[in-house]
Amino acid sequence: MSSPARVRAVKLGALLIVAVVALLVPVFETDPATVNVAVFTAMYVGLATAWNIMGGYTGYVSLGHAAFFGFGAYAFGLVLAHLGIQAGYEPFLFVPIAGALTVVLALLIGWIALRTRAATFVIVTIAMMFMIQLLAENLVGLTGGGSGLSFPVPPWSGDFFDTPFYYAMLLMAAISLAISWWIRRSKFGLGLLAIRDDEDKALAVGVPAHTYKLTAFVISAGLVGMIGAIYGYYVTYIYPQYAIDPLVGISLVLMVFLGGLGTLWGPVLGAVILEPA
Amino acid sequence: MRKPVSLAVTGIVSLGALSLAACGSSSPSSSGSPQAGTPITIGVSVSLTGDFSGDGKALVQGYDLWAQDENAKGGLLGHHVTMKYVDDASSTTQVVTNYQNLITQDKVALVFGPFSSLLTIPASTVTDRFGYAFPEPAGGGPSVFNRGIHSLFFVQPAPVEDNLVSFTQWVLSLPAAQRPATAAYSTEDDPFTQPQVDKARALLEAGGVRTVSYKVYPAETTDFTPLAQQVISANADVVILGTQEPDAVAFIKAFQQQHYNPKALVETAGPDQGSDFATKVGTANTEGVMVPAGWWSSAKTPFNATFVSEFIAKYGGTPGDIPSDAPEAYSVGEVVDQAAQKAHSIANSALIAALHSGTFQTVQGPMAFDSLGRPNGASFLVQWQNGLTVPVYPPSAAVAQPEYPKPAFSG
Amino acid sequence: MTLILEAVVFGILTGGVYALMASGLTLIFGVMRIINVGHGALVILGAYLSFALLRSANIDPFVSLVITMPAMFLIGVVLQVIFIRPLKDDREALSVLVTYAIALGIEGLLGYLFTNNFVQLNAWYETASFAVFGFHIAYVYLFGFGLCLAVLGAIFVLLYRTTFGSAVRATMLNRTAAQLVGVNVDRVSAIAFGIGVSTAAAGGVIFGMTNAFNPGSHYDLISRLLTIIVLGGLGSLRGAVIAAVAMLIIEDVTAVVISPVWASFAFFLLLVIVLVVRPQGLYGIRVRERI
Repeated sequence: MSSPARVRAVKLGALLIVAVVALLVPVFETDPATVNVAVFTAMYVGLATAWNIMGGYTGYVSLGHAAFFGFGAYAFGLVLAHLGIQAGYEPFLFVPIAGALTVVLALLIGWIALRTRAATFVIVTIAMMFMIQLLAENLVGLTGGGSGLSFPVPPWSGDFFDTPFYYAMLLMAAISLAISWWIRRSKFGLGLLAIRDDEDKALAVGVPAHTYKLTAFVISAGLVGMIGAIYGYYVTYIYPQYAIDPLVGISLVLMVFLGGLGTLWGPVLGAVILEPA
Repeated sequence: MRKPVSLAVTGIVSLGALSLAACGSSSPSSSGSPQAGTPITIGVSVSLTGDFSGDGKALVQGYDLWAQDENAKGGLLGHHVTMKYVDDASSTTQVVTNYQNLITQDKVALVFGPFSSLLTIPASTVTDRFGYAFPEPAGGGPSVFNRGIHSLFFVQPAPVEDNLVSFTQWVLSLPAAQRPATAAYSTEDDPFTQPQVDKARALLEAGGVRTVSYKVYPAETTDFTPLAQQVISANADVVILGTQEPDAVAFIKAFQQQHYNPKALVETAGPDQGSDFATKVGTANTEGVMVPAGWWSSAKTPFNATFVSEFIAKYGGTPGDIPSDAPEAYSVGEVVDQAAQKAHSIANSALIAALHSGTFQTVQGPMAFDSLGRPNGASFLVQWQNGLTVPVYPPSAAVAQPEYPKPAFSG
Repeated sequence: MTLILEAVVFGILTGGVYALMASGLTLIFGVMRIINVGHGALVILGAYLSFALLRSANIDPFVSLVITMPAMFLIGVVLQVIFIRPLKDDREALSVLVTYAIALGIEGLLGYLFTNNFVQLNAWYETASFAVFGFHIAYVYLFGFGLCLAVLGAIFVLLYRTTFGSAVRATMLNRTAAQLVGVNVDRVSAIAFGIGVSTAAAGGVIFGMTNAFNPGSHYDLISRLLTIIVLGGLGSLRGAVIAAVAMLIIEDVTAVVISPVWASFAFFLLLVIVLVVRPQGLYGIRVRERI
C-alpha cells in the first residue's frame, strides 16, 4: 500500500471511530447531566466550525456571530408560535426555516459590514450584534422584550430529555464540518484563502472578492442561526441578553484560535477543549 | 446580564467527568421518599457572582438560617438538612445545568429557587421535568406563571404584578379635594418592574388619575438624569417609578438637583433596602418616599421577631439592614416544613399536592397558592418616616398614617 | 422644545466625557494597530480607584486624579509590555482576545474587592445645580466637561507640539518607516498605551459621578466607545471627539423625541448609515494594508 493511501485509510478510520463514539454517547451514558455537557460540546463544535468558514478561511474576524445565534433562536421560537407547532419532534423539522431567516439577516448585515476591512470590520460586527440585541429587547410586541420568549416544552421525561437535542446538535456539527470540508477543497475555498492572504492581490487576479466574502459570511451565519434555533428549543426560554451574548461570540473565536485558524479540524479541537457551558 | 469565565473551567472538569463516569449511572427517583431519619440535601442554584450576586448572597443567608433552625428542632420531618449551593453566575444557561446536576448527579432530595424571574423561568422547566416541587422566593413576574407549570410555588404574599395595588388603593381612597389629578410613570424594561407599573397605571387611570407621562427605559441605563428630566417636566402630582436599587437612588438625586417635589413618590424597589438606601440618598431625603413591601422587620407575623433577632445574632447589623431576600428565602423553608408535616412525607409528589391546598404561615404572613403557584395575598405599602420604613396601607396592617403630601427634599 | 434644547446641552456635556475615553482608545489603536477591548474595564478601574480613595481617605474625586492618573499610566505601561508587546502576527484579532482577557481579569478583581453592587462617586457638586435656559444643570457636568477639555487639550499639545508627539504621529502613519528613521517604536507604544489608560482614569471619574457603575459596566461602555472610534475613523483623534459629541446628542434627543429604549439603537444606527456612505468613517483613511 502506498504511503498517501495508508494515511488516507488511517484518517478515515479515525473519523469513523470519532463518529461512532459521538453517536453512541447517549446510549452508554444515560446520566442526563453528562448528556447535557455533550449537547453543549456538540453545539460549540458546530458553532466554531461554522464561524471558521468566515473567520478562518477569509481572515475576517467577526465578533458578532452571537447575533446570528440569538436571531436564529428568536426566529425559531416565533415560527413555532405562529404556526402553532406542538412540542415534540416536529419542531426540529422547522429548524431550516430559522436558518433561512438568518441568511436573510446575514445578507443585509454582511452587505454593510463587508464594506469595511480589518479592525473596522471587527468593531462593526460587535455594533451589529448590539443592534440585534436591542431589537430583541425593544420590539416587545414581537419578541416579548425583557420578559423573554418561551418555547413549547417537549413532554419528554428528565432522563431522556437531552438525547434528541444531542443528536440534533450532532447533526448540525456534522453538516457544518461537511460544508467546511467541501469549501476547503473547492475553487471557492481557494478564493477565500487568497482573500485572507492578500485581498488586493486576490482582486487583481480576478477573485470576485466581495461576492465570495459575502457568500462565506452568509453560509457561516445560516449554520450558526440553525444551531441557535436548537439551543432555544433546548433551554425552552430565551431572553435578549442571554440569547445574544457577546461571550458566546468571543468563545467561538477563542476556540478557533486555540484549535487552529482556517483548518478543518482546528475548531473541533478548540471546542472540545474549551466547551464553555 | 453577564457571564463568567469559570464556565470554561466547569466545562473542562465536567468533560473529564464524562469520560470517568462513563459506566452505568442510575437515574434518580424523585417520587420515592428517603427513609425516615436519614439526612437529606436540599439543592439551590444561587447567583454568587454576576449581576444578581448581592441578592444571591442574601438568599443563602435566609436559607442557611432556616436550615439551622430546622435542624435545631430535629430536622425536616426528622431528616437532618444540609443545604448545597451552586453558583449560576446570574446566567440562564448555567441555572439550567445547575438544577439538572443537582437532581441527577448530587441526587438532592429537594430543590429551592434561585434569585429573580429570569433564572426561575428556565429552572422551573427542568425541576418540573424531573417531578420536583419548586418552591421559590424571588421569581414572581407574570411570565413565571404563564407556562402552566404546576410544581412551582412563589413564596411571597402577592404576585409581583400586584405589588403596587395597595398604593393605588390608597391614592384612590384619598378625599376628592386632596386626591392627585395627574401621574407620571417611568419604568425599567424589566419583568420585575414593568408589570407592576403597568398595572398601577391601569388602576389609577380607571380611578380618574390622568397619565401625563409614561416612559420605559432599557435595563442597562446608567445615566438617569435625562429620564428624570422628562418626569420633572411632566410636573405630575404623583410619580410612580419602576426602579431597582441604582435607579431608585439616581432618580431621587436628580429630583433634588432639579428642585422637584411631587406630592407622592413610590418606587418598586430600592427604598426597601433599609439603611443602604438611606445612606445613598441621605436620610433626610428618604422622608415620605414609598415602596411596596411584603415584609418589614417589625411586622407582627408569626415567628418574625425571633427570625430578626436570630438573623442579627448570626450575621450582625441592625433590623434595618436585613435585605428582604433573606426572609423570603426563610419563608420557602417554612412553607416546605408545613407542607411536609401535612403530607407526612417529603416526597416531591406529596409536597406538590400539599402545597396546592391550605394556608401556610411564614414570617411574611399567611399565604396560599393557586394551581399555577401564584400566591393569593396582597402586598403592603410602606413609607419612610423619620428614617425608618413603616407600613401605612392598608389600614389593617398600618402602624402609621401615610404622610401626604411628601415633604420637600432637603436639597 | 426646552426638553430638546436640554437634551442637546446634555449631549454635548456627556459627549465630552465619551470623547475623552474614546480618544485614549483611538490613540492606542493608531499607534499599535490593536483593538483594546479592555478600555472600558480600565475606565471602570479608574472610577473604582477614585471610589476607594473617596471612601477610605475622603479625597474629592477630581482631586484624586492627581494620584490615579499617574497610577493608571504605570498600569498601562506594564500591561503593554507584558501583554501587548509580545503580539506579532494577527495583531488585530489576537489583541481582541488578549485585551478581553484583561477586561475579564479586571472585572473579576473589582467584583472580588468591591462586590457587584452598583455604586456612584459622590461629591457636593453632584446634586447642587444652577439654572439656565429654564432648566437646571448640576455642576458636576460642567466641571467634568472642563476636565475633558483640559485633558484633550493636553493630548493635542503633546502630539502636535513636542518631539515625542512627532514620534507618536510617525508611528501612527507607518510603523516600519518610523523605526527606520530611528523612532524607538516599542517605547513610543508603551508610553502611548500608558497615556491612553490614564485618560481612561480621567474619563472614569466623570463617568462614575454621573452614572451608577459596577464591575460589569464596562460591556456597555466598550461597545459605545468602539462604535465612536469607528465612526470617527480608526486612529483619528479629531474624528473620535466629533463622533462622541454627535452620538451623545443624537442619543439624548432620541430619548426625548422617541423613547429612551431606542436611544442606544439610534447611536448604532448612525454608525450603519455613515458606513454605507463612507466606510472609512468620518476622518479615516482607506485601509489598504492586508489584514
